[in-house]
Amino acid sequence: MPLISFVYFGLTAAVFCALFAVRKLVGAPGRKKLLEKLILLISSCIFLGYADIRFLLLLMLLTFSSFAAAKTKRYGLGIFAALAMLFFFKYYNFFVESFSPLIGTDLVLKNILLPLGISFYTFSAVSYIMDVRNGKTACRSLLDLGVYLTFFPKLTSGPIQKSRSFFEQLDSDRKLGWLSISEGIQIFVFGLFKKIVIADRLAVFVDQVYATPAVFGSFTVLLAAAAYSLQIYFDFSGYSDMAIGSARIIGFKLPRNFNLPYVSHNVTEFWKRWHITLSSCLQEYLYFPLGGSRKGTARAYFNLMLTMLLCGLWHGADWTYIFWGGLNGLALVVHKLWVSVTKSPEKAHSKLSAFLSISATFVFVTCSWIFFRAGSFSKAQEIISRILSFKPGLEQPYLWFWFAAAVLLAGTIAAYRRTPEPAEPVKKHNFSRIDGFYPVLDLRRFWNLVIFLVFCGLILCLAQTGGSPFIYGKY
Amino acid sequence: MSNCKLQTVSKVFPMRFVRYAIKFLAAGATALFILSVFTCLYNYIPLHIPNGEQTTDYVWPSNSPWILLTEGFSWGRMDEKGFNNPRAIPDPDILFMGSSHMEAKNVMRNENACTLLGQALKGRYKVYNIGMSGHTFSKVCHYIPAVLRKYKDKQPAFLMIETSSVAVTDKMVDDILRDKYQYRPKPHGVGVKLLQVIPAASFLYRRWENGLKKVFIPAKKEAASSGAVRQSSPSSQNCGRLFSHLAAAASKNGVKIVIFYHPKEIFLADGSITFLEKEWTGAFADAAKQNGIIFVDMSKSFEKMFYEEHHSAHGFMNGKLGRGHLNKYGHRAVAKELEKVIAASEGKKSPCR
Repeated sequence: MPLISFVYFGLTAAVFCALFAVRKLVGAPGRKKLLEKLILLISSCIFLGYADIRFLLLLMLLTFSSFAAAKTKRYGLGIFAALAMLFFFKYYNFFVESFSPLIGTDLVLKNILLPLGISFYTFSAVSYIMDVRNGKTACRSLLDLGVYLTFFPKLTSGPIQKSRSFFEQLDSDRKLGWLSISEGIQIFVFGLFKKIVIADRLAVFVDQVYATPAVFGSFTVLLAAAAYSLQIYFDFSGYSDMAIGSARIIGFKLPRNFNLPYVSHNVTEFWKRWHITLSSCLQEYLYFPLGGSRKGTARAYFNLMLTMLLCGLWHGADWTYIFWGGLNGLALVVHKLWVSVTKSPEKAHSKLSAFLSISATFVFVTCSWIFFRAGSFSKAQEIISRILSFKPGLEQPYLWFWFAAAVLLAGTIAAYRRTPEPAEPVKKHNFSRIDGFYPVLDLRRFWNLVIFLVFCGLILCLAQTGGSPFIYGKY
Repeated sequence: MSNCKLQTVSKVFPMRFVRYAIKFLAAGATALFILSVFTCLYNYIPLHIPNGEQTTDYVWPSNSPWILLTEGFSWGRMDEKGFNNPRAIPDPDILFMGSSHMEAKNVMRNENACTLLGQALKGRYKVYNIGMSGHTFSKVCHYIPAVLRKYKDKQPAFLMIETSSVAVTDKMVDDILRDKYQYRPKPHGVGVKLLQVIPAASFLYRRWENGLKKVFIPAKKEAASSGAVRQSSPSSQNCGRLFSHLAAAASKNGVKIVIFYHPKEIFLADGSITFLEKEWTGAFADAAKQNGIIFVDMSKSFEKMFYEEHHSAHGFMNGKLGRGHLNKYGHRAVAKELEKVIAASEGKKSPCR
């Protein structure tokens, strides 16, 4: 079920009404909780079943296997089952294509349908099993686990919420009422603006240039590369906002997934601001179990590289994704080396130095996105060589790119002005102190309501009507 | 209403909800007003009205203003006849007919082919444009006899017909020859007229109908048959039948018909350019030549512009290049080619006026 559809709006409204009715009409706390969980589970099943009933069956299978693994303490088996499922549906063809000739097997490619959100809910299942194993969360009932894994706002593309945080909210008396609706709708609409006004407009330009880079002049191809940086940010953060907003309507708080990543001073900071829930899960469930930085510097760098390579693979079954992950891993290693040599976090930086480091980080990230977007090395090479060749071609100073850049800049300035001065002396000078926020208004006030309605109207006026799927929807 | 009843009502609908609903409606009205101001600056297009002269299905209201920043950047005011010209000309020497490309609401008036041609001819010819959105080649062909009848006292020397397609099918020719086409104007309901009073509502209604609906009510699965179905290949026989009909009407009135074809560009991955319906152009051109109709294929000109000047003929900086309407470069190229046609024609015989 697409998030931008009346069916989804209807489902969210129906779930809110049902939860609200249960809250008001059912007295016994135990029965109330049970009914709430059943409502959430059923609505999530409708959400997934609407896309394809087979996806629902697969998720049910994963829920059962994860539940059984946690219950019987066969954690390794549970993780293996989840990863095997992911491997089969997402990586089988990639594996056959890449390694079959090398190892001399005659495996044939299969026509496998990639289940919706499989990367995300597999990660959730693994996080649950590991949390139970590490004693961070208790072994939960099948119903609780089902609600956690299928929770519809985050099902397709996250944010990836750690099981313990979700269960805490599931067990508590969540706020449900005017405030949750008002905040949730505004966050959702904010995400909708990012997606259908900015990201989808940028997609028109980016798709055309990436399909035929040889037609365009160097400046336009460079602009398209920069436009993709903005597109993927607005697209994915827009999706995350819509997920966070709809979860907020029904009383859940999903973790923040983006925090103005393009103000990062370095790649390390970028990964603390970009896809935050994935970075934090990778750190907790992969980097730390590998040994983190406790086993020496060389091992720490190796662990970092391995984590980022797997991060690339997680994004897609293609060598370009792995290369993208490796590139970021290498940048993280280089930055760590730089920090150890220069001790830069301890020194105060001038504004020029901050500006240069933010720009350099953006340039690096944009270059790495070329491999992420291009689909093949030859295409990425074509894009890069076209940029560097300064060859003439069609020039398209795409207006919506400048609009997107202006929105991002305005948002960053607003966030900068709003971020309070640190109370204590700054320990890390190589990190930005800007903190993003949701522009949530008190909709009981008349003029706030007018502003909100004008904003909604502007979204409809400016939206790209062709539409394009969420970039992270395919992961 | 008794106090008791009032209390019952306030129990069902607490007063705070009623107060909020009123506040919401007032805020909605204020927002609509603000959005209307925005719409007037972003995309303002009036409603079509039926054309009393019956040379097109409809026209814009007399002297109506428009502003269009959604595809290209342009604004202006229609002439008193409701066409995109500085003023109405009762006895043009060159008359343009065509679709929204010719109507040219996406470019400023001084950038469209009609104006540029008029400037290039330095006042030797009076040029007038009755291009109207929605008037495809078949519709224009249907209206040619009516247009010639309208100008029977003083016929234009050239009738310039714009087309972006050379697909001439059996049905299309049959409909034109048998004069089957009849425009049945859909009377605007009260709702549409009311919407028109509020520019924001009118704009949103148009956007809803033109794609926004698909965003919020997406088709679950594309039907297997929904893929682009190309029309059956148009034969030279179809073109011949159509052009002999047009040529007969034109020669009876001493008018020279010029059809200029601006094909949609297709950019290829190797950096080259090709055009849609390329395979059908030959039959179309041959049939036109046989019937004494001048056919101007813009492909070569667009190709030259693409390779030498690095411009595309369609598309704008707020949309996709190669898609949508003719841009100022496209109009400029069209004007240049038509100027050559007129110069060649002048070379053969002295201009009639």
